[in-house]
Amino acid sequence: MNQIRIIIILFYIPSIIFSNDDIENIIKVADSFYNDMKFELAIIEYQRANVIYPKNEYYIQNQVQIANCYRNMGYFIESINIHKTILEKTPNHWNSIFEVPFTYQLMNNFSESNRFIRNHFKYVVNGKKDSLIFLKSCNHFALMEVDSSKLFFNTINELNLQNLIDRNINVISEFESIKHFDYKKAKYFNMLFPGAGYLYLDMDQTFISTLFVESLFLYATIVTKKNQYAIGTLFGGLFFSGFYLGSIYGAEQFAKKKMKNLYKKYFDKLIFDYHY
Amino acid sequence: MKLFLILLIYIYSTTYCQENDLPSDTTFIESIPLLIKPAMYTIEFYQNYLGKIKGSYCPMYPSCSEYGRLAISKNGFWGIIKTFDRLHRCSHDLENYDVILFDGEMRYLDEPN
Repeated sequence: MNQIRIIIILFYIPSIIFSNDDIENIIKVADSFYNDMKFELAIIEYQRANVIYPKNEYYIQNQVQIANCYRNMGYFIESINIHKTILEKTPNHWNSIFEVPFTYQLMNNFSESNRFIRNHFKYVVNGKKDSLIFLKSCNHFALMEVDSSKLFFNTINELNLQNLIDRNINVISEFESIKHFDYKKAKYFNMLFPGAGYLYLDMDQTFISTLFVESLFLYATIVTKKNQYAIGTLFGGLFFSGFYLGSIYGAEQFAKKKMKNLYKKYFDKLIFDYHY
Repeated sequence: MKLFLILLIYIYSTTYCQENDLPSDTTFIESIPLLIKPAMYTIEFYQNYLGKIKGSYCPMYPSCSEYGRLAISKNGFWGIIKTFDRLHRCSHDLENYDVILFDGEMRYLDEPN
């Protein structure tokens, strides 16, 4: 590791300082780093190009590439910030207009992605609007707004996207046909009968344990009450109430969690192999 | 007599935990409402003494007692209800949880929200 650092200091840094590369060569090197997925080195090269030639014709393109490097490295905020600085100078820059909501989507920040699309829709030329609508439809699905998602998918006219849209509408239809878990039902079932909510959520083991534990404490409370054993009644009652309320709360939360996971699973299917 | 016994248990549990220096959350426990304190002390007692003797293994992360401690510290009384819920669910229907590696062992992630 140290040897590599020494080599960098001895050869690479002086070559940067004293180099007389023209802009095309620097970008070529940067692109080769980018293609080899050496994003840190690619960022250095793109930045070098923009520092040495601040008024070069590839300036914005280099900035976009730096933002892409950050996105590929998982530094989403940095990537978005660079795109936003580009949009301050050129509000209709298509790459940035697409990349920002796309990156928000990668961050699972779907509402922000939709907000950005809404605010920048006016800057996009007609031919490219459909790509943004595609993103918006996926966002609506992730936000559990299935009808809006379908509606937006159906408004897309772009022929290149047609196959993807047909596939996605099929995915949504498949999603609608599978069993959905209503959290209110799960909650009320557990109120009416111990563990019934868990049975509704296909959690058989939890149903048995809930039924067993709650019955046990209810029985203990009743028996101790009959025998006028106050401490037993107090503790039995406390534990029964705790487990009873806990199971109601738990069924509700688990129904929500299951639905969220289901949406996530189908959302991954929607955006799979989508390229603009 | 019964009331006296309950009071005795309560006083014993509070003084016991104050005398035995509980490392992490002693100052925190003092700041939580009086009604929730016994629940917190019970969990602390379990973690410091009973858990070690019992040597049990909870397949979930955090363990039930740690979940209870976190839930009560975050949500107060509501945390007790969450703890009861967790006790229902512990070790059951594990396919519904994400799997993580903790200390080189496989655990099922279920954090209090």
